[in-house]
Amino acid sequence: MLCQLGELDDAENGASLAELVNTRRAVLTSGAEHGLLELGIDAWGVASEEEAHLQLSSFAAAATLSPMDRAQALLMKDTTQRQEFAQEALAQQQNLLAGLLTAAGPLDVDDASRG
Amino acid sequence: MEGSAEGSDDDGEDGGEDAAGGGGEDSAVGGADTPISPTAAMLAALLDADASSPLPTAATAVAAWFAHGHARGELKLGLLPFLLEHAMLPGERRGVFLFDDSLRECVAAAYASHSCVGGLLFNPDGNHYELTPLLRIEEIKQGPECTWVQLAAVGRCKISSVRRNKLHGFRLAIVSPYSDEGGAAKPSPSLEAVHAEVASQRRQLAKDLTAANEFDSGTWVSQGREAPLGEYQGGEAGGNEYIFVGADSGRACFGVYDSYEAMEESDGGELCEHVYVGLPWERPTAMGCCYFNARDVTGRHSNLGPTDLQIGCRYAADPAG
Repeated sequence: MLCQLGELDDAENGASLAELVNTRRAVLTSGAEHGLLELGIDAWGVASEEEAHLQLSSFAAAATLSPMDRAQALLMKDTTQRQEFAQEALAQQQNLLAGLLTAAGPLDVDDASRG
Repeated sequence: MEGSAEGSDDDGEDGGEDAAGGGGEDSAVGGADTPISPTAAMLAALLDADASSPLPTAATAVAAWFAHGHARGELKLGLLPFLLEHAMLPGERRGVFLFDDSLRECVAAAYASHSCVGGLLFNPDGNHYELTPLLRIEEIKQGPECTWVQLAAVGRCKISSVRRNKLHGFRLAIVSPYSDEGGAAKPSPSLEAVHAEVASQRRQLAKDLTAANEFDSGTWVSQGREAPLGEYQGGEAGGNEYIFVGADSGRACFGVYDSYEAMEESDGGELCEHVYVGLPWERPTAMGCCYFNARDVTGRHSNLGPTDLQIGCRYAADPAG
């Protein structure tokens, strides 16, 4: 269970994809007002700011996956493939989380009744 | 996994000794006679032309160093070992404690020059992958017993040659850019939708578990959690820092042992996992490293020295060490 969910006590738990992307962009640009492409990020092999954004977004989408899924996302060499991989893994998380939330429901009920 | 490859034999890796001078200043591989690719030449020209650009940030400095190094075929990185599962994705930031002398030298040397190191990713068998995250050193604090660095993953590189720094023993590698090669990606509304749903669920679950924790401290155990939500948030150590220590034997797990820790708050004991960090004269020159979540490096056990740290449970030993 833990392996599939990744960290729940992480500071970024529950953050939106846009927030995750913005956080990472700030790290990459050292907080300055630069575009990713403007920095000349040779290691990213991108030709446009949009391409850089999509690639960064695909990594951000994988942030809350399990450690090995994160590693797999890191090793991929195709942004679209990484997007699809993250989507599939997140869909699995969605099912798992739905089950956990359902299971957690009775706890609140018991808590309330005992209180 | 795509793009991954088991490392070459460790004996082979160690075969190449780097003719490094002090402070990690390594002799260049390649040199003036190395052919320069048209792409690399173009990058160098662009950077040279942009030399007067007023962008004095760490990010631009690293980008310039990377492009120049790539253009000249002499991109060389000192390497910090990581388990694959601890790999940092681009744009992520992490604080790391280093106890191993060679790794402390590695980051000190890098910080004094281009401020970048690579993350040598190992599988549990001790073989490394060809891909390495490019890590920018954002901050460094050096003490008598350990060095703390804040790393930011700013890209990916492919390792073409791993060798050992002759003077200090840390590993370094010749690297080249490793980037996506697929066709142009498009925004994915379906990915954004499922991510938004999962994020909402995660917020709700964390909220529920926190509330449940107030009612029943056993809830976290039943959910497989290591610690209650928020216990370490806001702490000096943070929740994403790892302690790196050298292996006491190349093929042995480093100093990990279990014991029943008497808890002050209870009559009973709790099975805990400890690591003996060791003293300088007990450390070999081996490269093996261990990775521990620095849950207790401050706070509850702040009165203890690093040899008494009661910490998490992830480790890896590099057989090559």
